Amino acid sequence: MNEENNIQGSQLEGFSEDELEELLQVYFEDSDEQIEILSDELMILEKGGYNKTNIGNIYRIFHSMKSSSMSFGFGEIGDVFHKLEDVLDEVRNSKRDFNAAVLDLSFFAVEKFKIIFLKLREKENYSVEKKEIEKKVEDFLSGETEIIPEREYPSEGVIAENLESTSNLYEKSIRIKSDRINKLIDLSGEMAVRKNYGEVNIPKILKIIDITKSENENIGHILKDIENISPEGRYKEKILKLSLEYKDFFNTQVNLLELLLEHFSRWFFQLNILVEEMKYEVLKTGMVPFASIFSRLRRSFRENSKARGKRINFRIKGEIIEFDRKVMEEIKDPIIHALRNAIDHGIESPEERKMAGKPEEGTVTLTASQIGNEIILEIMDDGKGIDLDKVKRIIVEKGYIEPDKVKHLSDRECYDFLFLPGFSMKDEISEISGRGVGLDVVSSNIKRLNGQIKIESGFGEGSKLEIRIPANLSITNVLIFECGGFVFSLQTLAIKRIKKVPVNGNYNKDQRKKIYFEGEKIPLVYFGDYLHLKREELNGELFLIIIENSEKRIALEVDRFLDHQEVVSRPINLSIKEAKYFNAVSSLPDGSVSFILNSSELINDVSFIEERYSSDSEIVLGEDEMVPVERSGKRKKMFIAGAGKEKFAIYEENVEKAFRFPNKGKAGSKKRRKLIYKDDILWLIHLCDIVGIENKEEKDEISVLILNDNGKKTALQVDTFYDYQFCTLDEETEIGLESKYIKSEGYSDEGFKVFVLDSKKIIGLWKKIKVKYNITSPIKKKSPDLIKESQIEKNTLNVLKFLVGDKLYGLDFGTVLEVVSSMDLMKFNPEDKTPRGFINLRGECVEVEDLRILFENGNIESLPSIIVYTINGIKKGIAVDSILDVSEEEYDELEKTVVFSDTENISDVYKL
Amino acid sequence: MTEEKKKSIMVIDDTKPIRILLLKTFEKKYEMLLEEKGIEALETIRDRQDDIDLIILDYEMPKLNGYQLLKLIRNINKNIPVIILSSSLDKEKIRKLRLLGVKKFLAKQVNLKRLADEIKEYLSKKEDKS
Repeated sequence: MNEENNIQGSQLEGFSEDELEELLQVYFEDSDEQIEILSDELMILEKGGYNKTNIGNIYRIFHSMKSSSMSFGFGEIGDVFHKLEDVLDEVRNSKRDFNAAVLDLSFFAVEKFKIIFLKLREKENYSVEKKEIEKKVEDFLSGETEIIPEREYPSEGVIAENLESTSNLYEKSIRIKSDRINKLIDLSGEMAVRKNYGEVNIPKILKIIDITKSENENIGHILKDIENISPEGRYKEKILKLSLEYKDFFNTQVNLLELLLEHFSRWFFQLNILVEEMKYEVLKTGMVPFASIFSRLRRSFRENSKARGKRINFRIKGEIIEFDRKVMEEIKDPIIHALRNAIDHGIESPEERKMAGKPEEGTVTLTASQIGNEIILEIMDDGKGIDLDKVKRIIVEKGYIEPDKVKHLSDRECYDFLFLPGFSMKDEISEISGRGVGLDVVSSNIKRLNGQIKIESGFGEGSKLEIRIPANLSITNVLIFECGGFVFSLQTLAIKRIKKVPVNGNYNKDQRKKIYFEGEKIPLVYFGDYLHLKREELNGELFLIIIENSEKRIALEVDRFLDHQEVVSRPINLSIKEAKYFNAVSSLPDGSVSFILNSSELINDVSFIEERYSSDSEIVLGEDEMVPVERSGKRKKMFIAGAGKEKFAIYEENVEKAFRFPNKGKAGSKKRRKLIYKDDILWLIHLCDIVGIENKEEKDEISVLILNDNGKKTALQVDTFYDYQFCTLDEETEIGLESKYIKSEGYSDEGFKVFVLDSKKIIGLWKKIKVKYNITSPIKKKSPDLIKESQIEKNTLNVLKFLVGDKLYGLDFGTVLEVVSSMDLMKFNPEDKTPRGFINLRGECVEVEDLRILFENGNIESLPSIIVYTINGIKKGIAVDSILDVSEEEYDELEKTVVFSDTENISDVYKL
Repeated sequence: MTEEKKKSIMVIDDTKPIRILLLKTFEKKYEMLLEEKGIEALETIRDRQDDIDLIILDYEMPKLNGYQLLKLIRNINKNIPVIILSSSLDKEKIRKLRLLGVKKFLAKQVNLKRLADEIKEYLSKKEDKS
């Protein structure tokens, strides 16, 4: 063993192994923390240049890492920190200049220390990294007098000093000022938008060519006529000659033009791809993965939950989602704050949880996902939820609303109060949150990013905070519309819904108007009235944009919707009064410029606009179609899918993906389909089958939902997709369709009835379905024409065939994860002759049953092939002689020939 | 051990692993008071000076260094023995610290055995006097 890896330094004697482990854990955790703070400090220095405080902090971290490393018996690491400490000490005391080289050295060291600590935890040899740092320090110290240019940092964007360093890693990465990146992002975005301009023009050119061609034909006819009527002789000869020349000339011109356009289109097409690619790549340089703040989130979470004496499991999902650096900076604190809220107000103490029949350990989940340019962050806890009665009480106590009116507030309106400054739900003030700086801070931060925030909660069942923010600040999706002869755009993030509403005779533009939307009467104003634009005559339809902030929703009437597009927004600074309604400008594909509107200002000023209308009699519009029936029960966002004539709702959080693909199967085929999704092979289950609806339609396209419940997935085939919609779920009513896969009934906000599917049970089918595609629950016939006995398809199973000795066996291919050829089993004891061993699968230990030994048939001398499969979520392996192929076998046949089955440890192996 | 009450030691060090290391090493024999920040340590000393039998003080700390902090401690209590942990003391610093009644200086690469011996010595000495 290398002496540099002497983990238990002689220093730490007299501790038991557990204690030692615990102590080292403290040291490692602290090191990680310090290294991270160090990166932050360095980053600040890099951005802001010399700063005595930061230099001092960095020195202190090096110092404290030195002493703790030494005290824990890692003298070697301590020495390295010591060297760095000395350098920083000199910088701190102005004995050495602070320049790019110092910064570079520190950054280099930080990166290497990260690796060193990783290796140290795994008890691996870290001397390479250690030597690299030492070499770097040496280079730094020796080169310092002559080579380092006397350029003060920051000077230029790119740091390129100290190039004599031979390190490869160094050359692979450079640091660039964020301004430059931002400029590049701006420009490439602008380019992407401008290229659309070209696209728009190609059809125009085509049209011109077409016109020219047909004109040419016309003229050809005319020439022919002239030829025909002209008398024979020299004159006619001349006309014929001229006409021929003319035709030749024009045909050549048109041909040339066509050829040119073809070339141009091809070139343009390639350019398009390049521009898109460039935009993507440039955008990526400014993006950071969500995972980069995980450790900070985890740390703060750990500290906070410890401080509050709560046992909470913290899960983060969506590490690959990338954010604009700026957005990430801005969103970090709100997330931390929201997590604190969940710890403080959400999760109960272990005792309370036990009383409520929940596991003592609470769970907080942070999920990031992305739709287009929009990132959705969800913070969910399984705590006590929000006590609406208490919220109402506080609303009254603080005097926001009269006591008798408070009961008319909808749930959503109540939650909105939580975002008000100074609104606190905490009885006693806690150390961390509960001082009244709570959600309002989070909310205003999110607003600044043009984001949205909302809360959903069920009392006793936990709550969910949803934050929607743009992934990238300069590129944004907008709805482009026309009003009063001008073109405006509004960020789609701010838009709740767009709607066309027919108008009847009693519409009067000067009267005050309201419109029903999701059960609320909301103000309706003509957008042009904000800017004193002249309104166009109505033609039977109102074009409405419904926008909302946390306090209010309003409907804006515009003249017409034009387009929905990705644009590059540039901030503007205008001094006219109306400028507050504009956030930014963007250029549109046709080269024109449009203002991007500031939705919150529009909402704020709505009452001011309303005052211009006569209030004699208020018109309420859209009554018929937009009033949802008042219903009791929980409101939840659901995915609506159709099967047969019915509509089904699935909890939004369980739907991982919805997509369609062409149906290539033979018509009437009764074979079950499977689907390869990401790394999983999923059986396709038809919704009709499990809820007992006859499904006879074979469509050209198959619509599939990937359901996900904590990583378990199922592919559910449905007939149609509808949309995400809010549904009021009614748990009391009798369910018209009876199947154990239906949980309850509900009504969507648009008023149709939905059956709420129990996604957990459906996902649970993934295993059962392999055994038999059966539905054990009784399917009652309630409406006789609708429900027939479910048809069960023929049971076949895809089997991976393999040989052990000279016999052929098979394993359900659906469970197979991968096949590893020629890898030997490892045993703890070389003398061990039992079938059980294990393999190292990319660092993961997988237990393997050697069927060659178990069946006493195989050739043990040669290296086996190993089939890795999953059972009950655990990876397992079997070692066999060789693998043949995959084929479909009838299930009933197989069932008789199971030769090896152990439900706990291994799945069925069939003899074929 | 027939003592009715454990002796207590205050550790003032801004490095968490070191605090924990000392805690784990000595908690069985002594009552350990851990302080991260000098200012907070002062508060504790002010409140509980009679309970503290020994202070182990890190010299290199942010804001208040060991010397400045010790001066403030001595304003509150002149008698509590102090062991200084440091990795960068020169003669001048040592002289100044001695004037404040510090007898022991240990290297910051904490040698637990040595420290244990020192602690034992200090605490038994005090016992004898009283």
